[in-house]
Amino acid sequence: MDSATLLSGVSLIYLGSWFSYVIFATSRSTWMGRLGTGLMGAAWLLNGAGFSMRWLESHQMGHGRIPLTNQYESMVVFAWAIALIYLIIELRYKNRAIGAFVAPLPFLSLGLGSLLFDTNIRPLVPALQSNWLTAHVVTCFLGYAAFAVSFGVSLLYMLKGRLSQGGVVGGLIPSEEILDHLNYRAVATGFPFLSVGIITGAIWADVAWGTYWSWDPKETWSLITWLVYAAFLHARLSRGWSGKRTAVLSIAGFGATLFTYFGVNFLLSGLHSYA
Amino acid sequence: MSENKVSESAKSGAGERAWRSLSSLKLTLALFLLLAAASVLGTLVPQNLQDEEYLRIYGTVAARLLEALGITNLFHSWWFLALLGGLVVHLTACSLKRLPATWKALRTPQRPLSHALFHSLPVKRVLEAEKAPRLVESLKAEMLGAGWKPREERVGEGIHLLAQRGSWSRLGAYVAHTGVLLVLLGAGLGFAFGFKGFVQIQEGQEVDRVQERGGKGWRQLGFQVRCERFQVATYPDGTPREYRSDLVFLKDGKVALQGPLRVNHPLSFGGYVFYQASYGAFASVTLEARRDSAMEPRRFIMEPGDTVSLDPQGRVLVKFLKYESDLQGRGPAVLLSHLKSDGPPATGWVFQRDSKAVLEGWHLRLSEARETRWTGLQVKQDPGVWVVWVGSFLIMAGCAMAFLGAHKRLWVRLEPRKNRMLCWVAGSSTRDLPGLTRAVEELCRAWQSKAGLRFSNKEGKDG
Repeated sequence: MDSATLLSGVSLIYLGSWFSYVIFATSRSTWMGRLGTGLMGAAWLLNGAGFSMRWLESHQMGHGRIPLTNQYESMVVFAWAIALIYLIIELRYKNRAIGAFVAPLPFLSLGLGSLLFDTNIRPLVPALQSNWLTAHVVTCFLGYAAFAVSFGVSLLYMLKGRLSQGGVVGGLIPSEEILDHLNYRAVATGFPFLSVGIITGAIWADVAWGTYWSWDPKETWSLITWLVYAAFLHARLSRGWSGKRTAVLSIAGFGATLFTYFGVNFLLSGLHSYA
Repeated sequence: MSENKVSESAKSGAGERAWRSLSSLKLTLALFLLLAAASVLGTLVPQNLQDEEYLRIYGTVAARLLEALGITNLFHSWWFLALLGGLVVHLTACSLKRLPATWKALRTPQRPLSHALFHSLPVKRVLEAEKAPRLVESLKAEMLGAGWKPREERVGEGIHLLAQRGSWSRLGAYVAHTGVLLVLLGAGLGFAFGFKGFVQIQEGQEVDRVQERGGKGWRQLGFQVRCERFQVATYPDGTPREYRSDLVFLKDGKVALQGPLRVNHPLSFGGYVFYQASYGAFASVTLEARRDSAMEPRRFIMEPGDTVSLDPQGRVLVKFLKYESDLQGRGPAVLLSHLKSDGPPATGWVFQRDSKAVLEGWHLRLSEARETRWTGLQVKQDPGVWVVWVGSFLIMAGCAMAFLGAHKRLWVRLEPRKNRMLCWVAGSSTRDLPGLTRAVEELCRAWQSKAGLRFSNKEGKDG
């Protein structure tokens, strides 16, 4: 079995984890909650294993390189990073209801990545042969993943009223204070990662092209995303915004993140044509 | 930072009001929003195209409007630069206004817990214990164990244990903001004093000047750069693996530096940095034309774009369009265009081997082709780049300080009541109230199990 087959299987484990979390949230069966966590943990480990396998496969093909160089590989890492950040939060805040809102994201990332994009291993073109590759891609995707989690939490915050009225998941959802704090913590984690991602990208661009900032669409959209989350942090920390208003900012920020990640690649053209 | 709101209503003149709005958070959010909106526009409208392109895409009126508003070169338009300038002024004003108060708050020792302060703090608990000889010591030991370093203070009969941690995290914002200012300053330095250029060098040739970007003319380097050769290495599947120019830098005719220039591995010389940017080939061919095999062929040496007349009268004009070193496995070939006075030109390939091309009775053959490759180098000089990197480092350090840490303060007040000891605990945090609440709960649990405290129903009302 090759890594691409393994990884498309892992996306189904993420799907199973999502179902378990949803059943847990509606039926309050502790057993289903544990299953959700177990499947998420297993999927995360296998996701990492698939990544390592792909690395090994590229070495066997004679042009070994870390698998962080195209749309498919980035979506593998995106899923892995979301699962990692989600598991840390679940462990720390001991709440599984959030899983029903976050678990679909790694499933979608890995599933769509496997379905829609070329999974062949290609050798590294000269522009990508750099020590900055790993630092740049990993920090960017940890940032994106933290924003994905903040998006899930904000969605839960916005829907909490309606969900508890229906009596479906009422008691299981964390309090509004906790959700609000989690939203802040996720953004406050993602923002430094995005900053480091942009800065390492700038250093790399300076080494490769002789210009650290050229207002390329990818660069510009990463700056737009950065500005939205900077607005979030300033509004919250200096002006005391919280609750619904920061949840809305967080959802808008994730919209900008997705556009930086996908929209720029498919709708705009530029230098950053890898992923 | 609500404690920093200095109320100076006494002198709320125009200057005061201007200063206040210059450092207001509303302005922060407005600047972020405007910069983001402008950037979105700058990615939707393609930047720095030729005028004709804009006319084609948007039509006359819209194209003129875009041009007039600077949207075709948005990121260097006066109004975008003015927005960035506004950000610089605003950031400076904010720091000047808020830093003294933050600094003072950090330097001022924690005051003992009064009842008014107790009620104003977000996290508070009241406990009590039987009087015991070493009660205060064991409370302090538990605090130390939980990472708090309490300072003891006595006010009348009351004993106060005051502790705080993570106060440095409050300076993170200032560090990060200084970083943003430095990045903008460095970018400004590069914009004002930097140089960006491009040059093509043919294999075996040298240049002593480069073309300034934006077609602003040429810049003399003060030294020569020679390209010994240019190579493309490929993987077995044909994907390019390496672009490499072997360069020699000559100062006063002597070799001063030589080495390979590769993508991601720039070379520095004489205050300039050179980057491998592009490559291409340049062909010079000899074309033979004759009317019959008895005739001594006429020979033409041509470079791409050249037009020659096959007959001495100037009636059969052909233009050399391009050269291929191996066309369809049939060897070298040139693409020629026959320019006619009546109607559009006709194009066709002329080969070196087995040429069957005939044009207006002229038999054509490619007799010789000399191909030289050229390498395209990006050349740059940027005195501001180090300022940008220092600023970037400060942004990262400031973010780490502000978001990894949180300033947490803890107040403990002990007062004897007959044979018991009442204990008020309260805390506050700038960034992490849930974390502080957890810490207070853990401390109370440790006190309950180790020092014999229990929760009191007094709720701190008396005293």
